[in-house]
Amino acid sequence: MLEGKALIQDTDMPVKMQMQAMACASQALDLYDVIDCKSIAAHIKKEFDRRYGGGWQCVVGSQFGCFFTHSKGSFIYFTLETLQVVIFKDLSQPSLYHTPRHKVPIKDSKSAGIGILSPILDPQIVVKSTMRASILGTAFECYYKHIYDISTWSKLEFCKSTTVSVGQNCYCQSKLDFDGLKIKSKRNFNSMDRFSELPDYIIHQIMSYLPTEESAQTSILSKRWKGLYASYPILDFPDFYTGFSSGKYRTNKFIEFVDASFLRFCQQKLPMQKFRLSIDGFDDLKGSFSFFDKWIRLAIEKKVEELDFSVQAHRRPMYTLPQEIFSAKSMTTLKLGSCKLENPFIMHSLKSLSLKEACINEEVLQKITSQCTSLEDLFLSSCYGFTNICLYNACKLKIINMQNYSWNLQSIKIVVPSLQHFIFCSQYKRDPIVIDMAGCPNLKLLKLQNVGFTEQKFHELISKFPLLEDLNVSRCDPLEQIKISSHLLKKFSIGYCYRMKAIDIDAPNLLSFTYDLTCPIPVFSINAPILWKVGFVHQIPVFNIKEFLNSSNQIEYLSFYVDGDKVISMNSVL
Amino acid sequence: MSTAATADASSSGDTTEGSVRLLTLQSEDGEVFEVKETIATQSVTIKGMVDDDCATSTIPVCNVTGRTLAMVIEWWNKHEIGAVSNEKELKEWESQFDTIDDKSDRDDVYDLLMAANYLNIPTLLDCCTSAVAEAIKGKSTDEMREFFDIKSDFDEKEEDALRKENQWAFEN
Repeated sequence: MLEGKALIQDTDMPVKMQMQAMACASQALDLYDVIDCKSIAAHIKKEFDRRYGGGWQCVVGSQFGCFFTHSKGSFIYFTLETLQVVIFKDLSQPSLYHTPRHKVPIKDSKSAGIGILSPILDPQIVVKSTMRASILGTAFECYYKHIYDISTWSKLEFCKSTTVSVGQNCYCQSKLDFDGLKIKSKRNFNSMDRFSELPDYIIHQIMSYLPTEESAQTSILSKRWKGLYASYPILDFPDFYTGFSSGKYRTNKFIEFVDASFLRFCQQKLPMQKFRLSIDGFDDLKGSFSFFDKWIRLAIEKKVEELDFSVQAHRRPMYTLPQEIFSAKSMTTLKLGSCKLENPFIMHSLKSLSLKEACINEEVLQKITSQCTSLEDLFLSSCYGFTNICLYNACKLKIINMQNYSWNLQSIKIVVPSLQHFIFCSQYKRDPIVIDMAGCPNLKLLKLQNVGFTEQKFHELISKFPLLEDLNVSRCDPLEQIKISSHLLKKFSIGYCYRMKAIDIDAPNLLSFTYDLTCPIPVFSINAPILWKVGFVHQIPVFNIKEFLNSSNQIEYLSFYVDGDKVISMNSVL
Repeated sequence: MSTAATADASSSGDTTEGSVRLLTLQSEDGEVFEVKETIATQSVTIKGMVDDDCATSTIPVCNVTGRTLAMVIEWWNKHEIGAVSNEKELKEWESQFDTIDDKSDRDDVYDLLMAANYLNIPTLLDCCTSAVAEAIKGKSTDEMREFFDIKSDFDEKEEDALRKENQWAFEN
């Protein structure tokens, strides 16, 4: 037993319980190290729960401020050695965070004492800047995380108790009728307008499922919803087409609408989650360029996490992005369309970068991927301005997805050991390009489309990926033969390779094999007991099923699909 | 003698198999539910309690009525990994949330939203919020007010000003 003496600072507990509290604390100190406050607190809490029923809370430490409501006769604050210990019992009424479904009896709230623990502070004149107020504020924020999610009723309650504890009236006291408001909100719970009292983030989540126009329309439902819409942290304006059908009038109205949305949100002093603007314009958008600049700057000022910006003007000049984008510290996702990236940038928080129809040269792309140290995901679609791609030093890059690659692309060299997925697709047939991925030994998924391969080049590439689990090859003429042997391969899909003559698979752990069939059918040798999915292109070719099946004696189940519909399925009779 | 032996065997079998702990949840109105720990920990709140070793006695789920808690538990059961064999079946079951026709459906969704918020169940929250959005999609302002039972606290002038400010959205 430790010799330290416990000193009671404040309590409203019965004496017997006080003794128990201190005995419990010194017992805990015997069991745990003095610095292990969490275990000490847990021990005391559990002991009290056991003795006096659930709902006890305990705080142990040497320097802290706290603020809570406890039930009557359950509070003690004492010091033991260097430790300060607070024990109290929760109120069994719903926490402030939640809107009470049933009205809270006024008698109860009167009997509930408020315990405030902080060093005695000098009285100060202005309430809003006292340390005491900030301690209360911090405690409250820690406790409830999102202060703005709390219902008005609870905020008022907090406001009221703060003024009581600080001992001064704040100026709003005279303006707000606290009791009146409380009664009014209570009546609200009993009536049916309960959805409006849901926490803000839930209503924002509902809005996120609505199209932009409709979430804007909710702003005129009531004053509460007007506020909710103003604080909605996703500013999403996708797919706006100017031009023939809409005309100048609608373009102007749209610009006004976006501008008003920004104005409203920026008054809220809240961080922005996402800003998306996508405009496809047949008209001259030049008059709107200053607005684009302004919105992007505001979004960055509001610490936007995801920026998705694409403005396509069919008439010159092209819109140039403000350089501020590339110094945004909070951004994790950046998607840009129809732009020109002339200078490399460094964004340490960036995780995902997506460029569509962007003009970017080899060197800039290389620098961006190696300098943005958190980058995990790179998506390039219809980008141009380079003939070779060489990526290395990107330590976290996991996914590279390239769609519709540039017509002039000649070679790709990737040395990224962390790479897991590589997707490379084009809609058109292309001259063969050189792919060197010897430096990506951890690749798990490979998807290639319209890559001109010879047999030798294909097998050379595949042999570099010992961990490959998913392989998808389509339209890769002049490829004639595929031979794969892997114990890890789980999924294999091949389609529209018109010159294919022979497929040879030795993959005992294969789970799925899809083959989009062309005529004549290549000879298969498959060592994998799996379910087949065979699709026919255009029409069912006449072929000898027996011969087809004889090529493998391992097939357990075979299904045929024609344009996605299953037409025949049979158990192999082998 | 032989009966006693079998009873013994079965009870010991239970305990070895019963590495799955049962948690006792008590609703606001006093209803008690016994739920497998593996299922209940889909709630981040309850998982936190289990991890902190605070879930040994009855867990009071205040704010949630027995009726709602029963629905939540049904949700957990359906969403336990491996409980429903195929995606399609699960989707079909979930689709009952998609249509919110009458008042009682709406109250249920409200109760579930509050429960999902309190117990911190992200999947349920997603499902319910999307259901509400689906229900108000395409509705006029007055229809939305009717759905939520909102009485507008704007006067006509204020409402007109707001409509004008968001003119683009209302003209679409």
